[in-house]
Amino acid sequence: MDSDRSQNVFVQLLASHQGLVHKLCRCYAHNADDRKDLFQEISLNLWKAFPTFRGESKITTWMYRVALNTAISGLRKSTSKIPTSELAERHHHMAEEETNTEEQFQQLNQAIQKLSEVDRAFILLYLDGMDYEEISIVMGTTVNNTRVKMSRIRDRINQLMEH
Amino acid sequence: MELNDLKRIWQQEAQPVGNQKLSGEELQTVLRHKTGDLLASLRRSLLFEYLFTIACFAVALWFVVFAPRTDMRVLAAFAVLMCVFFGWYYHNQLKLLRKVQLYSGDVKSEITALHSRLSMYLKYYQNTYRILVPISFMAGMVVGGGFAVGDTFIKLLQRPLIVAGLVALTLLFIFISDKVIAWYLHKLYGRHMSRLQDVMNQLDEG
Repeated sequence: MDSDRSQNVFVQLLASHQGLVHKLCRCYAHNADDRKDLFQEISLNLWKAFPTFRGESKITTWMYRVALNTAISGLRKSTSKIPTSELAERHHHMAEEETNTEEQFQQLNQAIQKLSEVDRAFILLYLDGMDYEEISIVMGTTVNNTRVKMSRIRDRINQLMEH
Repeated sequence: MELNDLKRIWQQEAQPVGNQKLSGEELQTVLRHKTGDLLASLRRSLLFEYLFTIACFAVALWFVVFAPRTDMRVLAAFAVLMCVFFGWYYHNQLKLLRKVQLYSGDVKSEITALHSRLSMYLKYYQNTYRILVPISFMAGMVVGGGFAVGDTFIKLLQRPLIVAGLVALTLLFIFISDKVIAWYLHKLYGRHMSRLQDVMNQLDEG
């Protein structure tokens, strides 16, 4: 009974914060099937880790940690990767039909996909509204290190968006 | 563009996830699925092998006690011994594997811990096979030879040339199996290990 109640509490929690997991899946999986698999793995790992959540950090910080550990560790089933050229072509077609801001968004999205998985995690946390200190807590780096990394990632994104 | 501009673009245009949102019931279903985690499938197959070894142990033990012929009892005793070795090996492997999992710590410490636990597991795997493979091979040769040619085999074992030949054959077998295991482990986990190492390096970069 306790386990059922605990699962219900967890499901409510996951339901209200699932947007975070979906966003992360969009960054780390390249097609619908991969996204579904990753969402499932993250949900299962969150459920496994749920007893360790003691409310010492924000729930979103805890969720990001588990979700990123799952996505970055690469221990899930091998995912099919879209070749960069195919990705670029797909975004090119999409961008042609879209307005300027949307185009910028597509360029940004495309640039993010080309970053390494670690850099992707840093920028994703930043774009989602975390400050450097929160990012450091999730990633396990120092605030200074995070600042340096963010500056490099910005340069890299600008470079990628120009091409 | 500055980071704040990127954030503005992202937050203005990021697609809403509303259409992807799952209901409570759908999330319950997700939690009922089996994990596709590599470690979980490894744990499942190890558990299967462990249970199979226990079953073999029980059968062999029955033969040790109830077999009608002495030679069968000797053979069964060898099998019991091998099952004990392999059972111990699987037990320890499962214990190690239980520690190899992701927790909810920060990314850097979790990936570092995962890398070190997985390395430990792989070292254990390889080192134990280095011991178990020659023991199994020697036991197989002695028991097989004993059954094939009976007393003559004991006489043959007194000839230095035969013993040297058997030792050479065992060493060759160890050498080949060692290479095969190293290749197999690299094929199974090499990509994951270098990926984890790469992530660790990236996190360490200033």
